[in-house]
Parts: sequence; C-alpha cells; structure tokens
Amino acid sequence: MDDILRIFFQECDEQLEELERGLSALSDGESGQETINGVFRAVHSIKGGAASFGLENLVRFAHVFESALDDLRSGRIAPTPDIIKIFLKAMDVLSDLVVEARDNLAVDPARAAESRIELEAITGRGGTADATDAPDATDDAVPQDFVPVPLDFEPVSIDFEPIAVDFDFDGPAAPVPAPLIVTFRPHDVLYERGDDARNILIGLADVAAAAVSGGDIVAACDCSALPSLGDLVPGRAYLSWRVVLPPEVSEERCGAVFDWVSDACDFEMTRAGETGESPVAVPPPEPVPAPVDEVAPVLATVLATALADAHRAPAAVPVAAAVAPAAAGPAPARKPEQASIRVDLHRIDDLMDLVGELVIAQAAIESLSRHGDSATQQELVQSIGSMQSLTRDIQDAVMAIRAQPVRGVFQRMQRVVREACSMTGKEVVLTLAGEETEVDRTLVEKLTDPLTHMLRNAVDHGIEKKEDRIAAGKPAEGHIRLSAEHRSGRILITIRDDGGGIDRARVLETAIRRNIVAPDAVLTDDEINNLIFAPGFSTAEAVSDLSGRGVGMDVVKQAILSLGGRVAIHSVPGKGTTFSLSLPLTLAILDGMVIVAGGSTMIVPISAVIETMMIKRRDIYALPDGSNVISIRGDCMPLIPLAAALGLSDSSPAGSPDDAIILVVENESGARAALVVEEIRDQTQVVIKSIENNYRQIFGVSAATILGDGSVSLILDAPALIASAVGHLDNKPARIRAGLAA
Amino acid sequence: MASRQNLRVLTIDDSRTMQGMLRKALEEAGCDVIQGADGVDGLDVLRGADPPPNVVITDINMPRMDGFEVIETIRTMNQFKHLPIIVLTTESDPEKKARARTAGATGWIVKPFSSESLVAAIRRVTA
Repeated sequence: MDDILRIFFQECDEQLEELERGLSALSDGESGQETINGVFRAVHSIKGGAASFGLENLVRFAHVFESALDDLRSGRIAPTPDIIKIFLKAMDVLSDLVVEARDNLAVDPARAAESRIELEAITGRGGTADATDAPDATDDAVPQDFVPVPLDFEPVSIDFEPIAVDFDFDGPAAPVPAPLIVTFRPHDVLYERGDDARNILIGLADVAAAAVSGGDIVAACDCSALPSLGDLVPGRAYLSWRVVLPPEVSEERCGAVFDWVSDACDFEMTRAGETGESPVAVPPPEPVPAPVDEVAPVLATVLATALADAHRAPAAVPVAAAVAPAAAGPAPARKPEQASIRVDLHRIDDLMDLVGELVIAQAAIESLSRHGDSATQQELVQSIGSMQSLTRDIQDAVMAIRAQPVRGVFQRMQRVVREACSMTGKEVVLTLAGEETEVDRTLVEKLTDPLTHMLRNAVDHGIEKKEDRIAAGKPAEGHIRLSAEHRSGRILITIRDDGGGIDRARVLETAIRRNIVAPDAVLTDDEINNLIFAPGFSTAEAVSDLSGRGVGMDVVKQAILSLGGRVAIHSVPGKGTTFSLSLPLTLAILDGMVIVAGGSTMIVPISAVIETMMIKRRDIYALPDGSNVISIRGDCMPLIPLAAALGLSDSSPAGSPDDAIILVVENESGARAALVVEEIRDQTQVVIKSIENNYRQIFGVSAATILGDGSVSLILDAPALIASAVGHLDNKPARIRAGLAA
Repeated sequence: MASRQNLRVLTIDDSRTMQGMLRKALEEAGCDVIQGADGVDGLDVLRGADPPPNVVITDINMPRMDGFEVIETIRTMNQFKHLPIIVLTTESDPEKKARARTAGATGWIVKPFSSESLVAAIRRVTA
C-alpha cells in the first residue's frame, strides 16, 4: 500500500502543477472550457485519491474547493481576478495539506479555515452545512465521537442496474407528491451472501438524509412470519420491513438502494397518496398482512436513525459527491495531448549508464585503432567515425528522455512570489517565459531551492516599496520575469526585476564593514555586484521575515556551482537587476579536455576553458610573495602550476617556463587564471562519476571518469582552483583582482 | 462463465493511485489486470487485448476521453456489445448515473471502494 500511497503523492504534485498551470492561464484571461475542466479535474483527482486513503483533512478541503470550481465549470461564477486570487490561495492551502498528509507536518489551520470560508462564500454554501454535505456536517465530530467498530459498516455503496425492478431511470424526475413507502422482504439468499436487512435500512436512511436536511425514515418490522422458537431455522429469512421515506426522496434514489439486492428480496415502492395510504409511522404492512409487533417499529426507527447518523461520517465522500451539482454541459472535450508513456526513472538511469559505458568502450576502440597495421586501420577509423556519431545520437536521445521542461519548477515560483508579496506587503507580478525549455531531470529538481531563494530576494530586496516606486515614476506593481532558454549547449535562466537595482555604495560599505574587502579596495561595478555572493554578506539592515532564514546568496551560488553552473549579475541603478544562471543540460556527461599534469592524465571541463596557448618566460611576472602572474594581451591573471597546486610535484613551472602550455580558465564571475600543464592530449566526452559517493571530496577535483584506455582520470574543478590561486595570493580576492586589473 | 481465477479485467482510470489500488485489489483476488491511462488509451488496450477482458472498470472524469464516451464506443464494437462495464467514480449524481446507464454501463461503484465490494461487483456482473 505504501507504494500506492507514494504514487498518490507523486500524482498530487502533478495535479497541483496542472492546477497552477490552469489557474495561471485563467488569470491571464484565458477562459477555455478545457482549461477549467483541467483545473476541476486536478482537484477532483486529489480528492478521490485522498478519500481512498482516508486523508480526512485533505478530502474535506478538496471537497469545498471542488464545489467552488464546479460553480466555475458550470458558469455560475466567472473567473474574475478576485475569484482567481481565492482559488490560488486555496491551491496553496491544498498543496500544504498534501504536504501535511505526506510528511506529517502540521498546517496553519487558520489559513486553511480562512481559505475555506472564502471558497464557501463563492459557492454560497457556507455556514449552514446542510445534512447532505457530509464533510461539513461531520467536520469536528468525526475523530472524537465516531466509533465505527460496533456497526460493522461497509462504507461503499454499490449500485447496479436493477434486474427485477422496472423503473424508468431516464425519465424526468417526478414531482414529489407524498411520502415514499417501501416494503421489502429479504430472501434467504440475501443473508447467505453475508448481506443484511440492516444494510438496506442504512441505505434508505442515507437516501432520506441526502434528499432533505434532517430527513429520517420510519421503519417498521413485520415479525408475523416468525415461527415459534422450536420451529425457527437459523439462517432462514422471516422478517419483512416497511419503511416510510420523506416525500423528497425520488423513486430512483430509493430504488438504487435495492439495485444490489434486487434478486435477493421482494420489494415494492409506493407513494402514500397513490394507494390512499397515509404516511403514518405504524401502518399495517401490506404484502404480508399480519399483526405487527408493537415494539418493533420503535426499535427499528431508533436503529435506522442511529445507523444513519453514525455512518454518515465514513460515507462522507460518496454522499458529498452526490451533492455536487451536475456540471452543465460536460461534453467530452478532447484535449490535444502528447502521447506519452511513463517509465521508471531507474530504467532511464540504467540506460544512461549503459550509454556512458558505450562512450567509454568507443573511446577504447578508438585508442586501439591508433595501433595495428595500416591496411585495416583505415577501415577501422572509418567505422569508428560512424560509431561515434551513432553513440552521440543515442546519448542525445537518452538525454531527451530524461529531459523535463522547467515548467514545474517555474510555476512553483508563482507561489514563492505570492507568499513573499504577502509577507512584505509589496505587489509583484511574476511572468514566466520559456517554461517549455527542457533540462535534465536531476537538474530540474536541484533548481528549486536556488530559484526560490533568488525570487524571495528579488521581492524582498530587489523590488522597492510601493511608495518609492511611485515616487520614482514607476508602476506601483513590481515586475519580475523568470525565463529559460537554451544557449550553446547550456541552459540560461534569467531572473530580471524592475526594482531599484543593486545599491553598490551600500554593498561596498557593508562589505568593508564585514571585513569582506579591504577599506581601500578599488572595485569595478561587477566586482561590487558579486560581493552579494560572498559568504556572510547581507545588506538587510533589519532582518526581515523573508531574509534571515540562514540562507544567503553564497549558498545559492554554491548550489549553482555544484551543478556545474555559473551566476552572473547585471544591475542598473533605478532600473533593476538581472541574475543569469548558466547551467549544463545534463549532469551525466561533459565535454572535457584531456591534459597531463604531474604525469597524471586529467580532464578539464571544456566549458571552463577560454583558450589554450604556449607562453614565454617573458610573459611571467613574479610577485613578492613568490607566486607568479601572467599577462596575456594586457590582462593579468594568476599562473597556477597545476601539478604543484594538486600536490603532485614540488617543481615550480617557472623553472622551465619557455613554451609552457597553459589553459586559460574562467569562473562564473569572470575571474581568470592560467593553468600550467605538461601536455594537451585530446578533447573528448567523458562520463561523470562521482568520487564523493565512493571516496570523499578532494580539493580541486569535482569528479572522476574512465578514459578510453580504461584508466581512471580525475575531472578538475576549475573554479575551485581559480579561487584558491587568488586566495593563495591574498585572502581577500576582490582586492587582489582589483589590484591586478588596475 | 469465466471462473474467477482467469478473470481478465481492464481498468481505465487516469489516476495512477486508483490504478495501483485496482491492480492490487484485483490481483489479490486472482484476476488478470490490464490497464488504460485514459479513455483513448483504454480503448486502445481493449482493441489490442488478447484474450479480451471479461469486464471493464472505467472512471468517468478523465482527460482526452471521458468514461461516457468510452462506454458508448465499446457498445458500438460488435464483439463487445455485451461486455460488462462497471463505472467507478467519486460521482454519485443521479443524472450522471442515468447517463452512464443510457450509454450502456452495467453497474456503478462509488469511490472509495473496498476490495471486497469491488470483487463482489465483478463476480456479480460476470456471473
């Protein structure tokens, strides 16, 4: 069952996503019936599943939400901005309730109650919970008072096409003239099947309660056929029943109770008026005219009412669903949808691993092909060429399977912004673009936290207060645009706000005060912008509700870096700030440059390499502390002897600098360094294998891979090397960089 | 009549939760279960099923094609004119029920269901 529960919660997430998508479309002015149907269906599905698992809180709230959406679906209410706002809030509550059910985290009950009242106000069904609205009626009573055990009640109603009964089900419902009188006499077979007349009474009581508020039934038992104790055969059916239902009960509803047992009992329905009967509580039973035990009807009434009351709780869902008004025109609309199948992620991961092995095997063959006699070599090289392109295609195809649009994560950000707005009292509209952009699934998941933080920041720090915006001649409502696009094999995510921009004077002042930069540092605008990523930096004078959660922008940056990404900031005072995140499409395979340093073969990610060149001794300048910098076309950058930096050798490359080979590498904020290597061997695709999982984190190394010759090779962490090189010169990187640039 | 051991059941529901529960309940009862993810898919599965199912259980509220249309379509297929179809839904609205009957449904079960009642219902319509 746990498996199914897991599927349920997974599905809840999908439905919530669908709901968010639909509601956003509606708030954008789209009012297509299919959108509304989709929104309705999402809540409906959550309710249905939740009911199966007995998740009461979730069912109750989903029910109210669904009712309100049903009003929207049937056109009784229009999707005005106010209504949509209420729905959005309800969606947030619903998603909290899902989390509550899943993780046992308590949800703020006040918020749920508030949202519920708003929803009920829409439908006009608030306050007086009518008897049929079981979830409402039993709201608080259920957990404390309801004792289901002694009743042995099966809370499932099963109705079937009547076999022995001849009703016109499709005819228009007749007006309700008089109380409905039902008589029924169970056959032996009814009991043999394990059924009970009590169940029928429960069903009838239920129908009565559903048809009219407080509707009770009056039941009388006819014991006339009961033999004396000596003649009584256990298991035989001797009793028959006569039940008077309120006039509001339709024949169909009542007949439905007997659908299931129509072949196991005789039964008959009459309207009191039609046969001249009066709806009194204890009339003489019709089919079996005989004296009625006087105690029986009273007991039966008490029993039936008690049963009805008691079991209304577990039967809450089906009964409640019956109350939901029929949708007007539920014409089956076909939504154009992409045909898709669901595949277990593990299988795709396995496939990805296999592709990785294939890449390795291919590289192995390639390296072998360099040997051997020249006659076959030619052909071999050709075959390998075509295999290479095939491998590449397969790899792309597998990656495409793993690819997922960023839509889900993006849409979650709407909520983040909504909540940030309500906490800061600002009004901000988040627009999304490029939600269809696809990236590797693992990456999508890992994007949520950094994006959440950046958007909170954008609302909290980026967008100015309403008064300030108006004073600056801007619209009172702030705008944030979150977009995604593919750019040269990477994904580019930008977060652009139209706020006040980064207050660089204040940032610098804070950084100096926090001892992040030296007081006399001369920094470029970009360098100042990047200070907000420095550990321990925060410009918030007073810790607001939003910030001060213990997560700074440095954590955001670390998260992006760990994904192989880069962050850049662009900010214009008074106009706004743009954060650009550049991320690889996958975390599984990268293009790397195969180099040799300290006699070891290593990989440098191509994305970090700006250029490679040979340098002369005259380009190298020694600094007083013994380290070297190199000037390349006027740009100064630290020179990192890679073998020494990794502890592979003590020899300084400065000893033999002429014709030394360097790789100019760059980090996300544009800081560069030159890595001195012994040899550049190749450029190849490598499969990333984590070493942290198997060993531990090693400075300067981000992962490992297996090369074509079967050897294990390390993948270098270029940004870490750059940071350390700069740090080696001075612990205050910004000042040094500024010094070098000056 | 097919015995319970080899009963083949086609379940059509867009909820994977529900499909999971149906599969579990039915397989525990010894049924062979085939499944369709929505109306369109369900009909595809039905057409391709070999052997064909002894009974169909379908949801009403589904994307692409709803349960009513599924029932109507099945009834237009000669070989499935008499295939029992049980509607399984959270709805118990009489109008919808009437619509399902008109379309050709054999029975109606309201969610949430218990596996006993589900199996009993299937046994009943396939008896």
